[in-house]
Amino acid sequence: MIDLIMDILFPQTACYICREPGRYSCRYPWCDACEDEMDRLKKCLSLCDHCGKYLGEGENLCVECRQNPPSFNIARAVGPYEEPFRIAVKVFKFLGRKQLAKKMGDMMAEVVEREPRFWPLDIIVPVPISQGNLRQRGFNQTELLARQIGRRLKIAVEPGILVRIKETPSQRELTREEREKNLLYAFKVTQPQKVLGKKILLVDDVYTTGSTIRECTRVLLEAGAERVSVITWAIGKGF
Amino acid sequence: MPLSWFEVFIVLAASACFSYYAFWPLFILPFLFLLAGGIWGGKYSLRSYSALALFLMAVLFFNWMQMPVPLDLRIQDGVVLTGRVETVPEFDGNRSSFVLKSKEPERAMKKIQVFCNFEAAVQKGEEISLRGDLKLPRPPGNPGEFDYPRYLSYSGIYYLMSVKEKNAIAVISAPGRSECFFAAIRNSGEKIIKDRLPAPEAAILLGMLLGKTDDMAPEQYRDFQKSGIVHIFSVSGLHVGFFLLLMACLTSLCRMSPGMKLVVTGIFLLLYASVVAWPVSVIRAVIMAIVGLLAYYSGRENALLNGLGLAGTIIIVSDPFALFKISFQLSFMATWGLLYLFPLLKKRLQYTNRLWDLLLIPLSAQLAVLPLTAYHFNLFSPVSLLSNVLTSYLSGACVILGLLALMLAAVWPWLAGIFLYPAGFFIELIMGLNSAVLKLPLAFWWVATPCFILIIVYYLGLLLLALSWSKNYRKRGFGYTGLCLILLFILLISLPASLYQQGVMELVLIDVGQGDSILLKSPGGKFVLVDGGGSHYSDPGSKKLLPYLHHRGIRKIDVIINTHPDIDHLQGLEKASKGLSVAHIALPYCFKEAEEYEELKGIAARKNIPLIFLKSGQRLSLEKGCELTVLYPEEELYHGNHYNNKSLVLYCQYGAFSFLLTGDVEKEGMQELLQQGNLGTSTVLKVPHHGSKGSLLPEFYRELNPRWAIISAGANNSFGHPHASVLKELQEQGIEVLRTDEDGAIVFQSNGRWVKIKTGAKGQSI
Repeated sequence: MIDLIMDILFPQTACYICREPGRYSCRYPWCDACEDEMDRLKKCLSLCDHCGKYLGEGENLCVECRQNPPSFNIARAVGPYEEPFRIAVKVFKFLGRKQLAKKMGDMMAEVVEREPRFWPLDIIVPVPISQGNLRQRGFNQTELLARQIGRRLKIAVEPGILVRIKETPSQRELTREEREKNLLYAFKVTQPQKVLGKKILLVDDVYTTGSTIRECTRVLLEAGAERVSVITWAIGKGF
Repeated sequence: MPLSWFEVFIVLAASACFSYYAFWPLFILPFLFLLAGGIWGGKYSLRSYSALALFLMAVLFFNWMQMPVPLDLRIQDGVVLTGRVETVPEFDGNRSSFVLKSKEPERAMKKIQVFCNFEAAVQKGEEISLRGDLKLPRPPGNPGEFDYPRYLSYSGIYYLMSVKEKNAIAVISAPGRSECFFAAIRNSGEKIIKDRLPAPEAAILLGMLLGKTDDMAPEQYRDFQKSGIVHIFSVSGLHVGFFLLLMACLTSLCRMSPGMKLVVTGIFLLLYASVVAWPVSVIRAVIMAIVGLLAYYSGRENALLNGLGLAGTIIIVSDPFALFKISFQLSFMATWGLLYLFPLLKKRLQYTNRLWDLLLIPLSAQLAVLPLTAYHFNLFSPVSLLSNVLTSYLSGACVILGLLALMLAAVWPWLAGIFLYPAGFFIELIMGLNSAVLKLPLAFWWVATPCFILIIVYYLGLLLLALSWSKNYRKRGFGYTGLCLILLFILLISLPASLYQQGVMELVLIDVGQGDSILLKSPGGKFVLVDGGGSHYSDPGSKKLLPYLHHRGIRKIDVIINTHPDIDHLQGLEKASKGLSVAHIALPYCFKEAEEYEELKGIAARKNIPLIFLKSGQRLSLEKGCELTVLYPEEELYHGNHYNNKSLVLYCQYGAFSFLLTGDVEKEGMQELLQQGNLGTSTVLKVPHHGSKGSLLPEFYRELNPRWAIISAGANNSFGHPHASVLKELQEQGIEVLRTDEDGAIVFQSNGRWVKIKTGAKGQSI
């Protein structure tokens, strides 16, 4: 309802991805051409069976998962971290177009619905962002996505359970080792009784090296969670 | 909906204009334009069709809102009305005024501006009945003069009511409880501000907080106008911006969530508006602020610009006349400049030093309002860039401190006082800075009123320039064309008035109410001002004479002449010589020592203006082939106190066009003039002494044999000027009479062969 009113009050006049002018809304934030391009990218490569990364020909596990298998049950993303997906998440995060959470969350929920290995699920937990980013942006993008997924799948969202206790510098320019070192003991579960024995869906925006996700999974499992599955918007390539 | 709110606003504004002026032939233009856009517009055709549909619907809507002005207005005495007091009554020491929302069914009577000759003991929201005389507001007499009836009609007011006795007002019922509550807060705040701060500072702070300008000295107000910071005295976007800043700080201190912040800020905004009693400017500011807040928190694309269009749409749908109000135009356009021009400019220049923001923010606002200040105030002030940088932060601090004081005044006056002292200091700083920047060279100059097409040319240029800054349209031609159009506008309004209408002699009898004021323009472009009007009660010099001169873009007067030192001839000249650059001041020799001239002589000494003393037989050569001859009086000092018969009498001839200016001479003087025997004939005669009975001398008129006789007299003046016997005599001699009290300003133009006459307030914009 509020989204509908906001669409009327502050109409969107260009595709968020390719800037093609037209009439858009929060249910239809990008044009058909961009939607088609996303569909094409989703299907053109095979996936790592475990972490969902995109692979080259003839494999079913990525290098990572073979050498050092992550502790989560399964991770999947809507698409590869490439042009349309990357622009969408940037527009969402850095330009603060919060209403994109609706469309993006729905697309993520759809992926979860279609994959039987996610199920059953008890609660949804978003990956927490740093206080600095929160203050700067005014919203937590993963929480918005998680709420939309929860609404769609009718599962409770518990954003307060997992918190960040260490302010970490931006991960974008770091190597895998530095990232992992950075993130060690960066997260904490505040209410372990709520996690105990639960099957958790962890939500994040982008999965690149997987350091954040691995660390969050570790903390959740240590706190007594039965199983952690991961859904992200976009994911890197595993080759 | 395929239109953005900004486009909706523009379409609505256009249709409101057409509905108001009801000029149906022109109607076909936007209609055809949009239709053509629909047919050949390609991907814009849906937009064009929607705009067309919206335009037609809006025209119906605005006609249903009854925008055209009712015509059958008539005056009535002793009318009894009942209704609710709609504005906070203002008292200026002599009379109080407020707007009454009456229960009359007739549309023109629904709102009435009431004036009482005493301090009316009524409150906003009270239901009262009152008896008084219904009058019509007086239309302006001169081009460029403030159009009071039109101004009132924008608020839906067509009648004035004057109430003479206190017992003509009876209170029927008290205002609502909430209204009393807010009035109490307002009154305690007003009281504490007036108590703690010296009068000028208190007046300015009240102006800033409550939008009241009635306590402020007019000169001060005009000084702020000249430096382009007068907007800090109207409750406008800037204030609401600072209010929001204060609320953002307070809500952040309380660690509220964004949604909560929005709600709390909204509630406080409404409370503030209730305290200042919802004047129209505040209603508009609140609408803009709420839409702006929503836009800000929505994080949508172009949300702020869209929000501006949305706020504008809400405003003109609820009050179509807002479009014609200066305050709306200024605040809307300034906001547009900040939201549209500033980001583009910032992106174009790609600077990193944040200090540039300080300069570019006022620059983009000023670029957006430049033609409006030229049109409404006849001002072009480059210094406004500097003064805005210096003062807007100070005024923001004042607003925040004042708001805190206003909130606390009712409960904790002691603490409120503490906030007020720094506010007073900041105001003093603002006043000091303001007078300092006005002294800079080229700080501001008066410009002629630009015509409508010229304003459109300016905005077209600005739009082209802005487009050339944006990435999509970075074509070379755009920027240069835009810049040229803008410079053309500035050049045309800044050209000296003397360049226009070369070779045409002009004689203007300016409508200054009861009094005389005559402007002469020589064919080569020299300006002479003979007398300036004046009055003990009002200030026609500042309200009528100067606006007319500014309207024409006259910045320099070559000679100021006074015929005799009565106030209704002299006072306006003092204002003119203060406000404009004057080359010479000429006074009659016989009154050389009159003490009434002290002030004028003082101004002349301060501004280094040479004084000339005129006596009979002298000739004042304006240029080759154009001279003013002094016919009267003789050279002898006069020490009596009946000045009229010693008035200067001036004669000028240019080709076949000639005129005689007679000041206030009466029978004795006229007889002496006849006896001197040097009176020729003249085309135009300014009838002596406003056409009083004492100036009835048939031989004089017969001797002169003018074609036109012009009379300067105030409407319904208490002297009974002009006298019926004079009018009858003139009529019998077949002389055509033109009067300022009936015709407004009277303009004669002649190139020495033909004569053209124009009367009234019809504009002479360039």
